[in-house]
Amino acid sequence: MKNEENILESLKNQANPFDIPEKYFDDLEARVQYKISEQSKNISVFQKAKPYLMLAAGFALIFTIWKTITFAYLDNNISQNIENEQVKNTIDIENYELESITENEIIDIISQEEMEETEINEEVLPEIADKEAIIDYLLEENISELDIIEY
Amino acid sequence: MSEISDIEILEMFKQASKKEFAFGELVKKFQKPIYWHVRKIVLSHDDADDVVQNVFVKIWKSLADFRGDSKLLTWILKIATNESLSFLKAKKRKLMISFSTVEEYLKNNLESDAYFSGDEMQLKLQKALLTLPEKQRIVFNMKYFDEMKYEEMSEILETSVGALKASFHLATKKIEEFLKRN
Repeated sequence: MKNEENILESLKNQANPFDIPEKYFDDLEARVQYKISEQSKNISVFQKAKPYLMLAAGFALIFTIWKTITFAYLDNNISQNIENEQVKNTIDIENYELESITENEIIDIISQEEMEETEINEEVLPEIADKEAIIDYLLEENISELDIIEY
Repeated sequence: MSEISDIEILEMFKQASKKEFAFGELVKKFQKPIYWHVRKIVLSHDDADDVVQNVFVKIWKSLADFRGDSKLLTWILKIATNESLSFLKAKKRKLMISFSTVEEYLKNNLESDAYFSGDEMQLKLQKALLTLPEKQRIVFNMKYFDEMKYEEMSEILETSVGALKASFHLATKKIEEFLKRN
């Protein structure tokens, strides 16, 4: 261990093992200044373009917001339109049916309905006829009108 | 002609008309300590040159914010240390693609560097240093080669004096073992 410690001590006193190119430090300042001016140029190009970039970014932001809102509105509107369209279609179909029916056809339909009603009445009539027969029978049997009404 | 003081540099740097002159003086005054600090971390001259230039660009950009809480050189060496570590981190990311380690990269650089004239023992010492974790290596460099005070190292590396002493002791042990084995 003592030997290794001595090596470290002896190495410490030896010359610097790292070399540098001749006159390296003479022009370092110039190279640094050049690098800074180059970077400043790049920065100033960016600085010049900055207002335009900001403006473009602003437009992009507005467009994005507008697009998002419009999309959401359109989406909502489309579904609303689809519902409206369905209702409109139903009305149109009904209107078409009404338009396509002529006055005579309407009269025919009404007459037919009346006919059906008459048929119904005819079905009821025997019943009424039966009732009259019953009343006649009751009268014949001396059952008073009052009793009939009460009945 | 006597060397310009830190205060004079800082005062002139605040004046637009003298800003570039002040910075030129700063470069002249601190280029050597910065270079050697960086060189011992990145080892090859070419890499050190890149890092040093970046360090000065950083100083140019942030010198106006220097509040004078520490010595100017301490503040500058802190920037140099961070830039060197960032450089190695960036190298590590690139080297991950080729499945090599940054230590391997540094060792190869050292062996092939035209600007390394150390003998076999000095090369062995540098290889031993490459077995240490990066920060431990920096601590060892600052203490062993630069003979920097722990208090100053503490300001640069933002680590307590006790931790630095322990780190240096551990580094020395590891290097001694490496040299014993090889």
